Amino acid sequence: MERLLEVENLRVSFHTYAGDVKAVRGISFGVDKGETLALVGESGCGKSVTAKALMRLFDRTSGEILEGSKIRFDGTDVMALDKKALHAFRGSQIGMIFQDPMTSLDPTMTIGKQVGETLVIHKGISMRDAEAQAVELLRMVEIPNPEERVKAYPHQLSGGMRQRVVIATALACNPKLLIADEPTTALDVTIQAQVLDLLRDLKVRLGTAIILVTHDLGIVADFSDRIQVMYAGQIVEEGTKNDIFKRCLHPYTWALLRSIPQENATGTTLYSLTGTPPDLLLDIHGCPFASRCEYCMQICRQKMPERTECSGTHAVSCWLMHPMAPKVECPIPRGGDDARE
Amino acid sequence: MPVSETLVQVENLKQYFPVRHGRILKAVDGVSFSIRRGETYGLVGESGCGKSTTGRAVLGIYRPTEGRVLYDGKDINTLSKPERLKFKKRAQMIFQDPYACLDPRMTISSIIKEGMEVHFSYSRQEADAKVRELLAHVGLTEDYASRFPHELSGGQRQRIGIARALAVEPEFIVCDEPIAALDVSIQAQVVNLLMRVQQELGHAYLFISHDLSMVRHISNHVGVMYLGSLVETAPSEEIYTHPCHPYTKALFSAIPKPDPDADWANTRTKLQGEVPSPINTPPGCKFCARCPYAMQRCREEAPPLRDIGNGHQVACYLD
Repeated sequence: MERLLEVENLRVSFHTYAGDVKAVRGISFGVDKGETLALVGESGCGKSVTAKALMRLFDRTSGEILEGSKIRFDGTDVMALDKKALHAFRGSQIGMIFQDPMTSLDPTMTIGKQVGETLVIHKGISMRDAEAQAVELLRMVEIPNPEERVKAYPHQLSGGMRQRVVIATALACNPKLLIADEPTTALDVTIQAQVLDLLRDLKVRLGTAIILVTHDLGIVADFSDRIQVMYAGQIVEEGTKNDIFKRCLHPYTWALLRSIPQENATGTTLYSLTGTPPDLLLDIHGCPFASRCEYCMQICRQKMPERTECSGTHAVSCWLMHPMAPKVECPIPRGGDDARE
Repeated sequence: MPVSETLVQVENLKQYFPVRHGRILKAVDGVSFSIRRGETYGLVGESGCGKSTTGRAVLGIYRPTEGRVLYDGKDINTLSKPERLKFKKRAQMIFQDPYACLDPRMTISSIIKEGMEVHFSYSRQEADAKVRELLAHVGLTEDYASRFPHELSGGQRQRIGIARALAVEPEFIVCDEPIAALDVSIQAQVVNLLMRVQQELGHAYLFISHDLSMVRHISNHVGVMYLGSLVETAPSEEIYTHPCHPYTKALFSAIPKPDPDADWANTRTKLQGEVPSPINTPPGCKFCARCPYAMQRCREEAPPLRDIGNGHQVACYLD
């Protein structure tokens, strides 16, 4: 399949009074056309920062994408774009959906104007034409009575409807990539299911590639083609849905999967990780997960493990993969069958 | 103390709030259930279904519009002043947001001591010893006592919230979304702590959450609320394996399963539309506007909770 996005050695730091918070620490990945890639991990692991970096949504004063980071999107070198070109690039090539639909919509503008604004900026049409197109976009995201709703303000809509408006805005210019940063976290489960159905349907219809940022492994299992597990600003494991859920190899991925309550083990003690993620102000020598890992070896604290490719799709960064490392059984029952050779 | 004894009995609880233009918001509309000593009752539902309001009403934070809350056989809203103080010692609450529920200007030690000072007459040494004991109990070291909330992570703060509730030695704790603001691995830690404390001290929980899999894990009984009404209640395993109400079925199947082979998108029960406004709700079943099986009768008359065996009650006309 054709590559749409190629990221190489992406590093993002935030300048604070206490020092530089190194939120993303040299990650490389790619997205194919029409593919759905999920970034999973706990808060502070750098998944949202990665998503924002793809559109360079930082100003110099707060976050900075460090020298040497490469982002190529469909033949464009995103890092080389000047201010004007970047402005034209955002929204037209890549659309973005944020977690909270209330804060990503302007409370003083009607729905029609907000959806239309994107079209006015990127397609240079008049606001009147744009609002007419907005009706069609609202119909596409299955908002009932779109002719009426274009005149409504965000506060008159429910959370689920607002998120549909945000999706309509993000897709207004038919972008090749949609970045969805926790798109359903603020929604109730039945509404979440509806919004996910809508996204799935639009993905097939428009052929848009999606980068889904989430902490919900249920959504990931259902929605994504490929998964990248992030920890402390690094990708610790990546693979297809089946690679991650059935054959995962990294102890952190095991921990994530094991902390989900199992249906046949109610009332028992849940598996939980001890300790906390490392301080991102500091340099990390060795594996970032070493201090919380129950299989930690001496080398894990000294040297960052190399990325090991297990198959064409599956790669993991863990010293347990080294030929000299002790063989460890995957502790998850359902993944145990074909976990390790 | 026999295990089966009822500790909290909620009878036809109604909690209405007046809103503008003389309209009425029926947050809780005729809810009945009971919680036994040492057991966990899980209350689930989507936002705005009245589960938190129910939790607060059970603690007497609101005065019910109608109905009663019996605690150990006594109506909590007709208690005398000294009785009420005693009730407040016996029933405690853990809140959702570990950032908002701790006073940022107080040290951890004074946060934990605040309740103890009202209900017990400890000397300073005794109180300090008690704080150390509680901190150890929730898995924190004693040097946290002199720290302030901002120095703690979300999971640690939630442990302080739990320690504060345990400080007055309650027998009943309302946990209002105690894990909603936490990360998955931290959620597991807090749920483990709540279960361990319950095993050791034997108190009852009203566990309010929208996380259905966690509720299944911790609860003995589960109640499902929709728009102010309890639509189904049963022992935990029973309700998760045999959900009867169309809403319960849809709600349970709306959770994405962490299984790549589940084909969730095509196998689940789909629900059209959104939760209607709880203001001036029409008569009849609250769910009938979204229910795929709604009949004429459902629109006219609200179905009462009826027993279908195995301690399972459902408010639906369908068999």
